[in-house]
Amino acid sequence: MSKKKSKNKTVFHGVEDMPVAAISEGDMSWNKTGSWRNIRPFYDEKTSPCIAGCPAGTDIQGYIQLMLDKKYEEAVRMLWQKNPMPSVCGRVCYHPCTEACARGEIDESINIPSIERFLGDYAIDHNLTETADGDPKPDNGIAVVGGGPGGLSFAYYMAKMGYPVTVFEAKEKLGGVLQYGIPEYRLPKDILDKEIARITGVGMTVKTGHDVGRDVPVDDLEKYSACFLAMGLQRSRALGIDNEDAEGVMAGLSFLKSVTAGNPTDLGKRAIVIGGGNTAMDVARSAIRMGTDVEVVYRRTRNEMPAIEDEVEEAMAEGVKFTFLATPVGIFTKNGRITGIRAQRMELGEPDDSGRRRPVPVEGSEYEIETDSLLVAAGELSDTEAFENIVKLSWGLVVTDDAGQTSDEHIFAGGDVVTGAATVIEAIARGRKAAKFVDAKLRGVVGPETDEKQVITMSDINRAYFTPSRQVPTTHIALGKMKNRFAEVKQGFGEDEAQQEIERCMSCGVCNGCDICWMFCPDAAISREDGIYTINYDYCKGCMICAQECPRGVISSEREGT
Amino acid sequence: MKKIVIEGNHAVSYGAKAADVDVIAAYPITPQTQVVEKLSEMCASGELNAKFIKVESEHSAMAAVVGSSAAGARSFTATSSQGLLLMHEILHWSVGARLPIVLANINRAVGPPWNVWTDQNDSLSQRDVGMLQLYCESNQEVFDTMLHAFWVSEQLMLPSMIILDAFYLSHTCEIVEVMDADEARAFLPPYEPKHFLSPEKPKSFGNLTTPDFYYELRYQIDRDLRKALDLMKEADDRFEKLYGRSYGIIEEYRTDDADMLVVTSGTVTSTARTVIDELRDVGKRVGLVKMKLFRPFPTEDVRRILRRAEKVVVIDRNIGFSIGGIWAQEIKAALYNTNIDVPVFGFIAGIGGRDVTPRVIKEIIDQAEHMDVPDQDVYWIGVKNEQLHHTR
Amino acid sequence: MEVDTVLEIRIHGRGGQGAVIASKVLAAAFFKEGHFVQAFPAFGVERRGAPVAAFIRVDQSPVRLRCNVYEPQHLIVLDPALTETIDITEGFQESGWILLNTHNKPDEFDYAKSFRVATVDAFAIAIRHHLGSRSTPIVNTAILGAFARCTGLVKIDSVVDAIADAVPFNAAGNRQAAIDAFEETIMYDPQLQTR
Repeated sequence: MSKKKSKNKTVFHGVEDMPVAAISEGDMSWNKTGSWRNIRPFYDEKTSPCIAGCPAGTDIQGYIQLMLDKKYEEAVRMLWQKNPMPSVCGRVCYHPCTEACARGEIDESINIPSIERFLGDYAIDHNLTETADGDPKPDNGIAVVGGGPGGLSFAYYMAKMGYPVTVFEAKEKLGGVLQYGIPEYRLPKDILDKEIARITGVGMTVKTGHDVGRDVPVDDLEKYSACFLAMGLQRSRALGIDNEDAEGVMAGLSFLKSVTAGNPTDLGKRAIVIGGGNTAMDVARSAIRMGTDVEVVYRRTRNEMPAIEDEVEEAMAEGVKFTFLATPVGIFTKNGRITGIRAQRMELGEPDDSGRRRPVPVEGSEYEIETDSLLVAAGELSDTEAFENIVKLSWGLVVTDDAGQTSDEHIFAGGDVVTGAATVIEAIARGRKAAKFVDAKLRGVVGPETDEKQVITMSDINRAYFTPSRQVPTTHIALGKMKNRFAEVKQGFGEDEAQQEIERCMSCGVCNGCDICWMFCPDAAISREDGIYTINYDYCKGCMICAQECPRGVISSEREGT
Repeated sequence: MKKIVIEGNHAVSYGAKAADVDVIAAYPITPQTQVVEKLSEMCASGELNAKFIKVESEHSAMAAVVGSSAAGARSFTATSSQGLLLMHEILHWSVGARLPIVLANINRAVGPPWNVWTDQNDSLSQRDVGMLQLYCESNQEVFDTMLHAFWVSEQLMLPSMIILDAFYLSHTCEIVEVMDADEARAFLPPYEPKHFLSPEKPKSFGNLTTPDFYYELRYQIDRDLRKALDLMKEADDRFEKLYGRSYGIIEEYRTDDADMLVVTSGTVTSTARTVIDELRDVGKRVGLVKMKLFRPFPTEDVRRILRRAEKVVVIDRNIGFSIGGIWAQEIKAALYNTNIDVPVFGFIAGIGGRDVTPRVIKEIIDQAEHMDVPDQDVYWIGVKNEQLHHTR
Repeated sequence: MEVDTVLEIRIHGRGGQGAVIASKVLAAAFFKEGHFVQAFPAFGVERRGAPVAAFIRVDQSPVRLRCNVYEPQHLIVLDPALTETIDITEGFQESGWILLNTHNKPDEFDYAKSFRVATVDAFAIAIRHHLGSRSTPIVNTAILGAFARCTGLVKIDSVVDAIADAVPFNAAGNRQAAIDAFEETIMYDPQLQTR
């Protein structure tokens, strides 16, 4: 020690020995100042708000970073790990990710749907395919009942893990509500079919036209190692008023089915749509495209409408009329055909279980509306009678735990048949979660490991690094000219637009190699190699400038000695 | 090398380009703006491979080049008047940190009242920071001195200020032979810093220094700034050999057998040359001494030259309030404690851009001719006092 | 050109008319002929539309005078209306030329009683060559052609070359404007008139 000390101690005999300024002549790395530290910074990546906002936990921040390097294939493969249907979700999802996006607190949130759609379509345009990653499982196979988004998601992740999967779909084609509910102008069928083809291309047996409970005995499911129920909601809820069986009165879902099948039911000159959800909007917007005057009658106000905000706005822009705070109480008919409805005014009362204010009829406020047809989209119901002796049901819905386990040991369930009317992304999320759980169970291990990180908040973001900029908007083809046309309304991003928009991503909570910490460290304690930063605690004095400056809140601190 | 007709501000820009600077940080101010405009254009076009740092004040501009210079980059800034005054703190820093930054200052009067025209009070107010101060007479001298300044600064690890008059040089177009960095490299090789900030080889910079050593560090600055006299001469000689132009650190113009020596700096020198020629033509024994260096002050040269004269007339385009022109003070101080006994007449002229014409210079010489010794510390030429008196 | 003393020229114009550019181009033209030159604006602040002035000095040796021009030998006036608001002849030396941008003839001006006056319709020439707009034509290149003609101090070729170096847009139009002006200049010398 004494030798080292004398070597490093500079003794000046006079002014001629001295350096010209207060600069150390030699390397100062012997001076390990880390002992001064009482607080320690460390790289602590967190979950971006967009990822936390997505029910499926899609790695939005991650794929955007890959896209910045134009690694689109890697990006979409990362996306698929949480959501196998980006082309679908980029078009129809209600995008809670965008609502959660922290950039929205600075200027405007990132246009994630258009970015997701760009990636999904990139995979389609480049014919990207997938194969199973896991070893083939010597297993009796997995049965999936229902080929909608929930069933396909489950089937996809099981197949990816190497399980033999058989999907039973009652209808002619896979896709469920995506295929038979959502109209062409929101989700072109060729896009849907290509995305589904990629999913089934992982390797699975698909049995369309096989309605379990009718074409296939429910008992047949027992021969499989596990079975996943995802039949969705098949029936429209009736209004429960007189003359509902009159000609010209039909379920919204049936009408949509006729539209997607290419032979839409003739609605006459005027149609009334009952309901305020996404189905109601799909029905109304499909109807107006056929040249019918459409009026949506909803018992609450616009604020309580469960439909996606965009859908409501676009419907309005397309000329759909809205009557709020009214409900049908009777149907007028002539020669067995509807001529109009009797509607009653409503007002909002106390909040109900859903938190929305309950509509209360206003006495003596009834009035008539003439119409040629009435389309009912006041909610959907399940069709689960065939399973009532096998799994526990509640109000027609399959009862499961959080992982999708039903009352039967080897039967799992997900999608709308469990949650009631929910969203595509929730069905996909439940499908994946159940697949992970089923895999763990079949392999006899404890449930899949979860990697829950802290979700970053706006207060962790260093706003100084982000110059306000406008969102690159999704463009729409002229809505006023949309009558009689089922062409897709929303236009996708080209590469330039996508790149311009992802440039705005703040990569909240996740290091993107911006070098700010490395540049700011006054003690040169941070080193950088291959984009990875390391803190050399021999020199870190714990000033925390790195954490203060980090634009995206990646660096956390802890006290020394605790 | 090529001759072009450019204004003084662009001579500064071309000088920085010839010096192949790495970093420029500057904030625009009249009358310096064209320096920065041209350099930012050069950086944007790729003509000059340098980092141009936009800043929000002159204090930041100087601080930015302190940082870049400490990191080993050849660094340049330019300013004027209030901008230079705002830099003052960092000017001291650049000297104490021994950073070879070059700063071009366009001499502009200090407000209030607001005045964009020339005088030297802005730069002369930086008398004691320890930077070299180099005053120029023509746009060619501006260009050439830019290269001198970088070379001497880098030899000494001390910053330099090169100074040109507002408008009389900054906005005046004349012929300048410019060269590019390749041509200038024979005179000014790339900067190789001995010490520089680097995460790879960490060093301590600007640490607290106790009375044990601070004193010696100041001594070194004083010692090294004095060395700049010889180094400027060396630079001037080398430059002349390479490119054929020389200025010296102090210039004698027709001083042979002169009874009276007129001492000037900046563009007044240039105009004074015509006056000296005229007076010589009518047989007057008048000579001119051009001061290029203010810091370091060429004391020995001043003594050597002025001791031959019977009268010294100093024309100051500045004022040290209550004591006289600043060059005159320095010259008087240089002559004290010697056996030189020559009266020094201090004249003030041209402050705030007041034109210094041949007639003004002749008037100064005439006034000095009619006195044996000065009866005042300072003579303000052309104060409108009398005129006011007449109109009353 | 043979001059034994420094030649001084003053250009009058309005802020935005290009008087300062004209001074630089004219200086460059003299430089091309091997002279030493100096060009500068009236020092200070310039505002669009306000009267401005620019100066040129030309000499056989480096120009050492670094002060304002007080007694110009020649005057160039870009805007004839200026003659009504300022005394353009202040300090003017009687031997030189007053060059006016106007469609009028030289002898229509009172100056012609005692000074040599040249006129050129630089507005019309500038419009002809699409310099500036019809309402605010840029006349600073055309007028230099007229200067070359009336004074004979600098060759039109040098003026045209200097213009080509200096103007960023429509170089051909600017060059031709100077040539047209050279040819269309009308000169009047009171001493050569027989009465």
